[in-house]
Amino acid sequence: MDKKDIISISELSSEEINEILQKAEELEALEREKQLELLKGKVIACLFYEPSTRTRDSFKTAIARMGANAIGFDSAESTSGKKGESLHDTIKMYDGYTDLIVMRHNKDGSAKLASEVAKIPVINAGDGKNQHPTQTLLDLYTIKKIHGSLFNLNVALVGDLKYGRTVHSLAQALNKFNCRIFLVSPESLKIPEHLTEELKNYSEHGQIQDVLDKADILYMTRIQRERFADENEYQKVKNVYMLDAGMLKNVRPNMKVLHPLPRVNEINKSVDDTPYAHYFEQAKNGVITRMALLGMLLGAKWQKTKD
Amino acid sequence: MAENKGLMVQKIENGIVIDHIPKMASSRIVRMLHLHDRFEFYNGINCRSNKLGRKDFIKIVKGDLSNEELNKIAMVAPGATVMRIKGFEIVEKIPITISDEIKNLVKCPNTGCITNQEPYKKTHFIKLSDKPLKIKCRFCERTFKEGEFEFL
Repeated sequence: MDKKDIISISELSSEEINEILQKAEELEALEREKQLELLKGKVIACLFYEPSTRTRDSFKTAIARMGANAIGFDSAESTSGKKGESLHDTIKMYDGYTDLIVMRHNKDGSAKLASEVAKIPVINAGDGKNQHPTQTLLDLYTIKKIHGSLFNLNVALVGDLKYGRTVHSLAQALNKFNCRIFLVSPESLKIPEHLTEELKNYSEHGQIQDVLDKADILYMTRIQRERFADENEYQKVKNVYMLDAGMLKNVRPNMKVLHPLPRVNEINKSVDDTPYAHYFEQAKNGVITRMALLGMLLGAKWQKTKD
Repeated sequence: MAENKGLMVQKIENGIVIDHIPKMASSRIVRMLHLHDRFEFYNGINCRSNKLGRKDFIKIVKGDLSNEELNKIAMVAPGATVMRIKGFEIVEKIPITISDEIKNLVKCPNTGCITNQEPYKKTHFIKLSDKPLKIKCRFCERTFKEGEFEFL
Protein backbone atom coordinates (compact mmCIF):
# COMPACT_ATOMS: atom_id res chain seq x y z
CA MET A 1 0.00 0.00 0.00
CA ASP A 2 1.49 3.35 -0.98
CA LYS A 3 -0.92 5.55 0.98
CA LYS A 4 0.55 8.21 3.28
CA ASP A 5 -2.67 8.57 5.28
CA ILE A 6 -5.91 6.78 6.18
CA ILE A 7 -8.64 9.39 5.71
CA SER A 8 -11.65 7.83 4.04
CA ILE A 9 -12.92 4.44 2.94
CA SER A 10 -13.79 6.01 -0.40
CA GLU A 11 -10.05 6.43 -1.06
CA LEU A 12 -9.23 2.76 -0.49
CA SER A 13 -9.55 0.05 -3.17
CA SER A 14 -10.64 -3.49 -2.34
CA GLU A 15 -7.01 -4.59 -2.91
CA GLU A 16 -5.71 -2.03 -0.42
CA ILE A 17 -8.35 -3.01 2.12
CA ASN A 18 -7.40 -6.68 1.73
CA GLU A 19 -3.73 -5.82 2.16
CA ILE A 20 -4.44 -3.99 5.44
CA LEU A 21 -6.52 -6.91 6.73
CA GLN A 22 -3.82 -9.37 5.69
CA LYS A 23 -1.14 -7.41 7.56
CA ALA A 24 -3.40 -7.21 10.62
CA GLU A 25 -3.84 -10.98 10.55
CA GLU A 26 -0.07 -11.49 10.33
CA LEU A 27 0.49 -9.03 13.15
CA GLU A 28 -2.01 -10.83 15.34
CA ALA A 29 -0.05 -14.05 14.87
CA LEU A 30 3.18 -12.37 15.96
CA GLU A 31 4.47 -12.80 19.53
CA ARG A 32 3.70 -9.89 21.81
CA GLU A 33 7.41 -9.19 22.45
CA LYS A 34 8.00 -8.80 18.73
CA GLN A 35 5.01 -6.49 18.35
CA LEU A 36 6.53 -4.27 21.04
CA GLU A 37 9.67 -3.78 18.96
CA LEU A 38 7.93 -2.60 15.80
CA LEU A 39 7.42 1.09 16.63
CA LYS A 40 9.90 1.45 19.46
CA GLY A 41 10.96 5.07 19.95
CA LYS A 42 8.16 6.52 17.81
CA VAL A 43 5.98 9.32 19.17
CA ILE A 44 2.36 9.44 18.06
CA ALA A 45 0.05 12.43 18.50
CA CYS A 46 -3.52 11.61 19.53
CA LEU A 47 -5.46 14.79 18.88
CA PHE A 48 -9.01 14.28 20.14
CA TYR A 49 -10.98 17.50 19.69
CA GLU A 50 -14.10 15.53 20.56
CA PRO A 51 -14.38 13.14 23.49
CA SER A 52 -14.41 9.46 22.49
CA THR A 53 -13.34 7.04 25.18
CA ARG A 54 -13.66 3.91 23.08
CA THR A 55 -11.81 4.94 19.94
CA ARG A 56 -9.18 6.91 21.87
CA ASP A 57 -8.35 4.04 24.22
CA SER A 58 -8.31 1.56 21.35
CA PHE A 59 -5.70 3.74 19.62
CA LYS A 60 -3.72 4.31 22.82
CA THR A 61 -3.68 0.57 23.49
CA ALA A 62 -2.54 -0.07 19.91
CA ILE A 63 0.25 2.51 20.32
CA ALA A 64 1.39 0.96 23.62
CA ARG A 65 1.36 -2.57 22.16
CA MET A 66 3.60 -1.44 19.30
CA GLY A 67 6.10 0.03 21.76
CA ALA A 68 5.47 3.66 20.77
CA ASN A 69 4.56 6.64 22.95
CA ALA A 70 1.36 8.68 22.74
CA ILE A 71 1.04 12.41 23.37
CA GLY A 72 -1.85 14.79 22.67
CA PHE A 73 -5.14 15.87 24.20
CA ASP A 74 -8.56 14.39 24.97
CA SER A 75 -10.94 17.29 24.42
CA ALA A 76 -11.11 20.62 22.64
CA GLU A 77 -11.25 22.33 26.05
CA SER A 78 -7.58 21.80 26.61
CA THR A 79 -6.31 22.79 23.19
CA SER A 80 -4.91 25.87 21.59
CA GLY A 81 -7.91 25.67 19.23
CA LYS A 82 -9.86 27.05 22.15
CA LYS A 83 -7.56 30.09 22.03
CA GLY A 84 -8.43 30.56 18.38
CA GLU A 85 -5.58 28.69 16.74
CA SER A 86 -6.48 27.28 13.34
CA LEU A 87 -6.39 23.53 12.74
CA HIS A 88 -3.75 24.25 10.10
CA ASP A 89 -1.38 25.76 12.67
CA THR A 90 -1.98 23.08 15.31
CA ILE A 91 -1.21 20.37 12.77
CA LYS A 92 1.94 22.19 11.61
CA MET A 93 3.17 22.11 15.18
CA TYR A 94 2.52 18.40 15.78
CA ASP A 95 3.99 17.70 12.35
CA GLY A 96 7.26 18.94 13.76
CA TYR A 97 7.00 17.08 17.06
CA THR A 98 5.80 13.61 16.20
CA ASP A 99 5.92 10.70 13.74
CA LEU A 100 2.20 10.24 13.08
CA ILE A 101 -1.07 12.01 13.90
CA VAL A 102 -4.30 10.30 14.95
CA MET A 103 -7.11 12.84 14.95
CA ARG A 104 -10.78 13.05 15.83
CA HIS A 105 -12.46 16.38 15.09
CA ASN A 106 -16.03 17.64 15.00
CA LYS A 107 -15.78 19.17 11.50
CA ASP A 108 -16.31 17.20 8.28
CA GLY A 109 -13.17 17.05 6.16
CA SER A 110 -10.83 18.04 9.01
CA ALA A 111 -8.75 14.89 8.60
CA LYS A 112 -8.27 15.52 4.88
CA LEU A 113 -7.13 19.05 5.64
CA ALA A 114 -4.72 17.78 8.32
CA SER A 115 -3.28 15.23 5.88
CA GLU A 116 -2.58 17.97 3.36
CA VAL A 117 -0.89 20.18 5.94
CA ALA A 118 1.19 17.43 7.58
CA LYS A 119 4.18 15.74 6.00
CA ILE A 120 3.81 12.85 8.47
CA PRO A 121 0.97 10.29 8.15
CA VAL A 122 -2.49 11.15 9.45
CA ILE A 123 -5.13 8.63 10.57
CA ASN A 124 -8.73 9.82 10.69
CA ALA A 125 -10.35 8.72 13.96
CA GLY A 126 -13.65 10.34 12.97
CA ASP A 127 -14.27 13.67 11.19
CA GLY A 128 -17.67 15.14 12.10
CA LYS A 129 -20.49 13.39 10.27
CA ASN A 130 -18.23 12.27 7.45
CA GLN A 131 -15.95 9.23 7.96
CA HIS A 132 -14.58 6.86 10.57
CA PRO A 133 -12.42 4.55 8.46
CA THR A 134 -10.68 2.62 11.25
CA GLN A 135 -14.07 1.51 12.60
CA THR A 136 -14.93 0.23 9.12
CA LEU A 137 -11.61 -1.56 8.79
CA LEU A 138 -12.07 -3.32 12.12
CA ASP A 139 -15.59 -4.30 11.07
CA LEU A 140 -14.21 -5.72 7.82
CA TYR A 141 -11.42 -7.51 9.68
CA THR A 142 -14.04 -9.09 11.92
CA ILE A 143 -16.26 -10.13 9.02
CA LYS A 144 -13.33 -11.57 7.09
CA LYS A 145 -12.22 -13.61 10.10
CA ILE A 146 -15.73 -15.03 10.44
CA HIS A 147 -16.43 -15.86 6.80
CA GLY A 148 -12.92 -16.19 5.35
CA SER A 149 -13.58 -13.63 2.60
CA LEU A 150 -15.41 -10.37 2.16
CA PHE A 151 -16.74 -11.13 -1.31
CA ASN A 152 -20.41 -11.82 -2.08
CA LEU A 153 -21.72 -11.91 1.50
CA ASN A 154 -25.27 -11.04 2.56
CA VAL A 155 -25.00 -8.23 5.06
CA ALA A 156 -27.94 -6.62 6.86
CA LEU A 157 -27.42 -3.11 8.27
CA VAL A 158 -30.05 -2.35 10.91
CA GLY A 159 -31.18 0.76 12.78
CA ASP A 160 -30.12 4.35 12.24
CA LEU A 161 -28.97 4.34 8.65
CA LYS A 162 -29.47 8.08 8.22
CA TYR A 163 -27.05 9.58 10.72
CA GLY A 164 -24.80 6.59 11.38
CA ARG A 165 -21.51 7.40 9.68
CA THR A 166 -20.21 3.93 10.63
CA VAL A 167 -22.94 2.36 8.54
CA HIS A 168 -22.29 4.70 5.62
CA SER A 169 -18.59 3.80 5.39
CA LEU A 170 -19.33 0.11 5.91
CA ALA A 171 -21.92 0.09 3.10
CA GLN A 172 -19.42 1.82 0.79
CA ALA A 173 -16.76 -0.74 1.66
CA LEU A 174 -19.01 -3.82 1.31
CA ASN A 175 -20.07 -2.52 -2.07
CA LYS A 176 -16.45 -2.80 -3.24
CA PHE A 177 -16.66 -6.54 -2.45
CA ASN A 178 -19.94 -7.13 -4.30
CA CYS A 179 -21.86 -7.85 -1.12
CA ARG A 180 -25.65 -8.04 -1.10
CA ILE A 181 -26.76 -5.32 1.31
CA PHE A 182 -30.07 -5.33 3.20
CA LEU A 183 -30.89 -1.91 4.64
CA VAL A 184 -33.30 -2.16 7.57
CA SER A 185 -34.52 1.08 9.12
CA PRO A 186 -37.65 3.00 10.08
CA GLU A 187 -38.88 5.38 7.37
CA SER A 188 -37.46 8.42 9.20
CA LEU A 189 -33.96 6.93 9.44
CA LYS A 190 -33.45 5.64 5.89
CA ILE A 191 -30.00 5.79 4.32
CA PRO A 192 -29.37 9.00 2.32
CA GLU A 193 -29.96 8.78 -1.41
CA HIS A 194 -26.44 9.85 -2.38
CA LEU A 195 -25.27 6.59 -0.78
CA THR A 196 -27.79 4.24 -2.38
CA GLU A 197 -26.84 5.79 -5.72
CA GLU A 198 -23.40 4.22 -5.22
CA LEU A 199 -24.61 0.77 -4.16
CA LYS A 200 -24.76 -2.04 -6.71
CA ASN A 201 -26.86 -4.65 -4.92
CA TYR A 202 -29.18 -3.61 -2.12
CA SER A 203 -32.77 -3.59 -0.91
CA GLU A 204 -34.57 -1.55 1.76
CA HIS A 205 -36.73 -3.05 4.51
CA GLY A 206 -38.79 -1.88 7.45
CA GLN A 207 -38.81 -5.15 9.41
CA ILE A 208 -35.80 -7.00 10.75
CA GLN A 209 -37.76 -10.29 10.28
CA ASP A 210 -37.54 -9.80 6.48
CA VAL A 211 -33.82 -10.43 6.49
CA LEU A 212 -33.00 -12.62 9.50
CA ASP A 213 -32.84 -15.94 7.62
CA LYS A 214 -30.86 -14.52 4.67
CA ALA A 215 -28.06 -12.65 6.42
CA ASP A 216 -24.47 -13.79 6.89
CA ILE A 217 -23.86 -10.71 9.06
CA LEU A 218 -26.45 -8.79 11.06
CA TYR A 219 -24.95 -5.39 11.79
CA MET A 220 -27.00 -3.64 14.48
CA THR A 221 -26.66 0.06 15.36
CA ARG A 222 -27.88 2.27 18.15
CA ILE A 223 -30.53 4.85 17.42
CA GLN A 224 -28.82 7.95 18.75
CA ARG A 225 -30.93 10.24 20.89
CA GLU A 226 -28.59 13.20 20.33
CA ARG A 227 -29.36 13.18 16.59
CA PHE A 228 -33.03 14.04 17.11
CA ALA A 229 -34.13 17.66 17.41
CA ASP A 230 -37.60 16.45 18.40
CA GLU A 231 -37.82 14.15 21.45
CA ASN A 232 -41.17 12.76 20.21
CA GLU A 233 -39.57 11.57 17.00
CA TYR A 234 -36.94 9.74 19.03
CA GLN A 235 -39.54 8.13 21.29
CA LYS A 236 -41.38 6.83 18.22
CA VAL A 237 -38.40 4.91 16.81
CA LYS A 238 -36.12 4.16 19.76
CA ASN A 239 -37.48 0.66 20.35
CA VAL A 240 -38.28 -0.46 16.80
CA TYR A 241 -35.51 -3.03 16.57
CA MET A 242 -34.89 -5.12 19.64
CA LEU A 243 -33.08 -8.32 18.92
CA ASP A 244 -33.46 -11.18 21.37
CA ALA A 245 -32.28 -14.80 21.37
CA GLY A 246 -35.74 -16.11 20.43
CA MET A 247 -35.62 -14.30 17.08
CA LEU A 248 -32.47 -16.15 16.02
CA LYS A 249 -34.04 -19.61 15.53
CA ASN A 250 -33.95 -19.76 11.75
CA VAL A 251 -30.76 -17.89 10.99
CA ARG A 252 -27.89 -19.22 8.90
CA PRO A 253 -25.58 -21.38 11.05
CA ASN A 254 -22.52 -19.18 10.60
CA MET A 255 -24.43 -15.89 10.96
CA LYS A 256 -22.92 -13.39 13.41
CA VAL A 257 -24.38 -10.31 15.07
CA LEU A 258 -22.12 -7.25 15.11
CA HIS A 259 -22.55 -3.84 16.76
CA PRO A 260 -20.12 -0.89 16.94
CA LEU A 261 -21.09 -0.43 20.64
CA PRO A 262 -22.21 1.07 22.94
CA ARG A 263 -25.58 -0.71 22.72
CA VAL A 264 -28.66 0.45 24.56
CA ASN A 265 -31.56 -1.97 24.12
CA GLU A 266 -31.31 -2.98 20.45
CA ILE A 267 -29.54 -6.23 21.41
CA ASN A 268 -31.05 -8.01 24.38
CA LYS A 269 -28.58 -9.55 26.81
CA SER A 270 -30.04 -12.99 25.96
CA VAL A 271 -28.23 -12.77 22.60
CA ASP A 272 -24.85 -12.60 24.39
CA ASP A 273 -25.06 -16.31 25.26
CA THR A 274 -25.90 -17.49 21.74
CA PRO A 275 -23.19 -18.57 19.27
CA TYR A 276 -24.23 -15.62 17.08
CA ALA A 277 -23.04 -12.83 19.41
CA HIS A 278 -19.78 -11.41 18.12
CA TYR A 279 -19.75 -7.73 19.12
CA PHE A 280 -17.22 -7.97 21.94
CA GLU A 281 -14.87 -9.91 19.70
CA GLN A 282 -15.40 -7.15 17.14
CA ALA A 283 -14.40 -4.42 19.63
CA LYS A 284 -11.27 -6.39 20.51
CA ASN A 285 -10.30 -6.47 16.82
CA GLY A 286 -10.13 -2.66 16.87
CA VAL A 287 -6.78 -2.77 18.62
CA ILE A 288 -5.04 -5.15 16.21
CA THR A 289 -6.44 -3.36 13.13
CA ARG A 290 -5.18 -0.02 14.42
CA MET A 291 -1.81 -1.55 15.30
CA ALA A 292 -1.48 -2.77 11.72
CA LEU A 293 -2.37 0.66 10.31
CA LEU A 294 0.13 2.45 12.55
CA GLY A 295 2.82 -0.04 11.59
CA MET A 296 2.11 0.11 7.85
CA LEU A 297 2.03 3.92 7.69
CA LEU A 298 5.28 4.14 9.65
CA GLY A 299 7.03 1.60 7.44
CA ALA A 300 7.41 -1.18 10.04
CA LYS A 301 7.89 -4.65 8.58
CA TRP A 302 6.57 -7.95 9.90
CA GLN A 303 5.73 -11.30 8.42
CA LYS A 304 3.55 -14.21 9.21
CA THR A 305 5.19 -16.52 11.70
CA LYS A 306 4.85 -20.26 11.16
CA ASP A 307 2.00 -21.73 13.10
CA MET B 1 -30.34 61.19 -25.99
CA ALA B 2 -30.72 59.44 -29.31
CA GLU B 3 -30.44 55.64 -29.40
CA ASN B 4 -26.82 54.73 -29.82
CA LYS B 5 -26.51 51.48 -31.67
CA GLY B 6 -22.76 51.76 -32.07
CA LEU B 7 -20.10 50.39 -29.83
CA MET B 8 -20.23 51.49 -26.23
CA VAL B 9 -16.52 51.01 -25.78
CA GLN B 10 -13.87 51.36 -28.43
CA LYS B 11 -12.42 48.32 -30.15
CA ILE B 12 -9.18 46.99 -28.77
CA GLU B 13 -6.21 46.25 -31.00
CA ASN B 14 -4.86 43.25 -29.13
CA GLY B 15 -6.12 41.37 -26.10
CA ILE B 16 -9.05 39.39 -24.76
CA VAL B 17 -12.77 40.15 -24.83
CA ILE B 18 -15.07 38.42 -22.36
CA ASP B 19 -18.64 39.10 -23.46
CA HIS B 20 -22.12 37.98 -22.38
CA ILE B 21 -21.28 37.92 -18.69
CA PRO B 22 -24.49 37.86 -16.60
CA LYS B 23 -25.20 41.38 -15.34
CA MET B 24 -23.24 42.42 -12.26
CA ALA B 25 -21.09 39.27 -12.36
CA SER B 26 -18.02 40.85 -13.96
CA SER B 27 -16.61 42.25 -10.72
CA ARG B 28 -16.28 38.67 -9.50
CA ILE B 29 -14.23 37.79 -12.58
CA VAL B 30 -12.05 40.89 -12.06
CA ARG B 31 -11.40 39.93 -8.45
CA MET B 32 -10.95 36.24 -9.14
CA LEU B 33 -8.32 36.79 -11.83
CA HIS B 34 -6.81 39.91 -10.20
CA LEU B 35 -7.31 41.79 -13.46
CA HIS B 36 -7.04 45.16 -11.68
CA ASP B 37 -3.46 44.40 -10.64
CA ARG B 38 -2.35 43.07 -14.00
CA PHE B 39 -3.97 44.76 -16.97
CA GLU B 40 -5.58 47.81 -18.43
CA PHE B 41 -9.19 46.86 -19.19
CA TYR B 42 -12.60 48.26 -19.98
CA ASN B 43 -15.44 46.91 -17.87
CA GLY B 44 -19.02 47.30 -19.04
CA ILE B 45 -21.58 46.82 -16.29
CA ASN B 46 -25.33 46.31 -16.72
CA CYS B 47 -25.20 47.14 -20.44
CA ARG B 48 -27.98 46.57 -22.96
CA SER B 49 -27.79 43.22 -24.72
CA ASN B 50 -29.97 41.65 -27.40
CA LYS B 51 -29.14 38.20 -26.13
CA LEU B 52 -29.38 38.71 -22.37
CA GLY B 53 -31.35 41.94 -21.88
CA ARG B 54 -28.59 43.19 -19.62
CA LYS B 55 -25.00 42.03 -19.52
CA ASP B 56 -21.48 42.81 -18.36
CA PHE B 57 -18.35 42.63 -20.49
CA ILE B 58 -14.61 42.97 -20.01
CA LYS B 59 -12.07 44.03 -22.67
CA ILE B 60 -8.50 43.39 -21.63
CA VAL B 61 -6.01 45.59 -23.48
CA LYS B 62 -2.79 43.89 -24.58
CA GLY B 63 -3.12 41.06 -22.13
CA ASP B 64 -3.58 37.33 -22.29
CA LEU B 65 -5.03 34.76 -19.92
CA SER B 66 -4.12 31.10 -19.53
CA ASN B 67 -6.63 28.36 -20.31
CA GLU B 68 -6.83 27.57 -16.60
CA GLU B 69 -7.81 31.17 -15.88
CA LEU B 70 -10.34 31.21 -18.70
CA ASN B 71 -11.93 28.03 -17.40
CA LYS B 72 -12.45 29.70 -14.04
CA ILE B 73 -14.71 32.14 -15.85
CA ALA B 74 -16.95 29.22 -16.83
CA MET B 75 -17.82 28.63 -13.19
CA VAL B 76 -18.97 32.25 -12.67
CA ALA B 77 -20.38 32.92 -16.13
CA PRO B 78 -21.05 29.64 -17.94
CA GLY B 79 -22.55 31.36 -21.01
CA ALA B 80 -19.75 33.89 -21.51
CA THR B 81 -18.15 34.35 -24.93
CA VAL B 82 -14.37 34.63 -24.84
CA MET B 83 -12.45 35.97 -27.85
CA ARG B 84 -8.80 36.61 -28.54
CA ILE B 85 -8.17 39.82 -30.55
CA LYS B 86 -5.21 40.61 -32.79
CA GLY B 87 -5.02 43.68 -35.05
CA PHE B 88 -8.63 44.66 -34.19
CA GLU B 89 -9.86 41.27 -35.48
CA ILE B 90 -11.22 38.25 -33.66
CA VAL B 91 -8.58 35.60 -34.26
CA GLU B 92 -9.97 32.97 -31.92
CA LYS B 93 -13.19 32.16 -30.12
CA ILE B 94 -12.11 30.28 -27.02
CA PRO B 95 -14.53 27.65 -25.73
CA ILE B 96 -14.56 27.64 -21.95
CA THR B 97 -15.45 24.65 -19.78
CA ILE B 98 -15.48 24.18 -16.04
CA SER B 99 -12.23 22.51 -14.98
CA ASP B 100 -12.25 19.05 -13.40
CA GLU B 101 -10.84 20.56 -10.22
CA ILE B 102 -12.20 23.80 -8.81
CA LYS B 103 -9.84 25.42 -6.32
CA ASN B 104 -10.49 28.38 -4.01
CA LEU B 105 -13.47 29.57 -5.99
CA VAL B 106 -16.55 28.11 -4.34
CA LYS B 107 -17.58 28.17 -0.69
CA CYS B 108 -18.63 24.76 0.65
CA PRO B 109 -22.38 24.88 1.42
CA ASN B 110 -21.93 22.31 4.23
CA THR B 111 -21.75 24.44 7.38
CA GLY B 112 -20.10 21.51 9.16
CA CYS B 113 -17.21 21.46 6.65
CA ILE B 114 -13.78 22.36 8.03
CA THR B 115 -13.19 24.78 5.13
CA ASN B 116 -15.85 27.06 6.61
CA GLN B 117 -14.03 27.22 9.93
CA GLU B 118 -10.43 27.66 8.92
CA PRO B 119 -9.26 31.25 8.43
CA TYR B 120 -7.41 30.42 5.19
CA LYS B 121 -10.57 29.83 3.11
CA LYS B 122 -9.00 27.25 0.86
CA THR B 123 -11.54 25.07 -0.89
CA HIS B 124 -11.18 22.29 -3.43
CA PHE B 125 -14.00 20.64 -5.37
CA ILE B 126 -13.98 17.83 -7.92
CA LYS B 127 -16.36 18.11 -10.88
CA LEU B 128 -18.55 15.00 -11.14
CA SER B 129 -20.66 16.08 -14.12
CA ASP B 130 -21.26 19.13 -16.35
CA LYS B 131 -24.95 18.87 -17.19
CA PRO B 132 -26.33 19.07 -14.61
CA LEU B 133 -23.32 20.55 -12.87
CA LYS B 134 -22.39 18.44 -9.83
CA ILE B 135 -19.34 19.06 -7.69
CA LYS B 136 -17.92 17.20 -4.69
CA CYS B 137 -16.01 18.80 -1.82
CA ARG B 138 -12.63 17.14 -1.52
CA PHE B 139 -12.70 17.68 2.24
CA CYS B 140 -16.18 16.82 3.57
CA GLU B 141 -16.98 14.55 0.55
CA ARG B 142 -20.46 16.03 0.09
CA THR B 143 -21.89 16.51 -3.39
CA PHE B 144 -23.65 19.71 -4.53
CA LYS B 145 -25.67 20.75 -7.57
CA GLU B 146 -25.72 24.02 -9.45
CA GLY B 147 -27.54 26.68 -7.47
CA GLU B 148 -26.59 25.14 -4.12
CA PHE B 149 -23.19 26.80 -3.78
CA GLU B 150 -21.91 30.34 -3.50
CA PHE B 151 -18.61 31.89 -4.47
CA LEU B 152 -15.91 32.75 -1.97
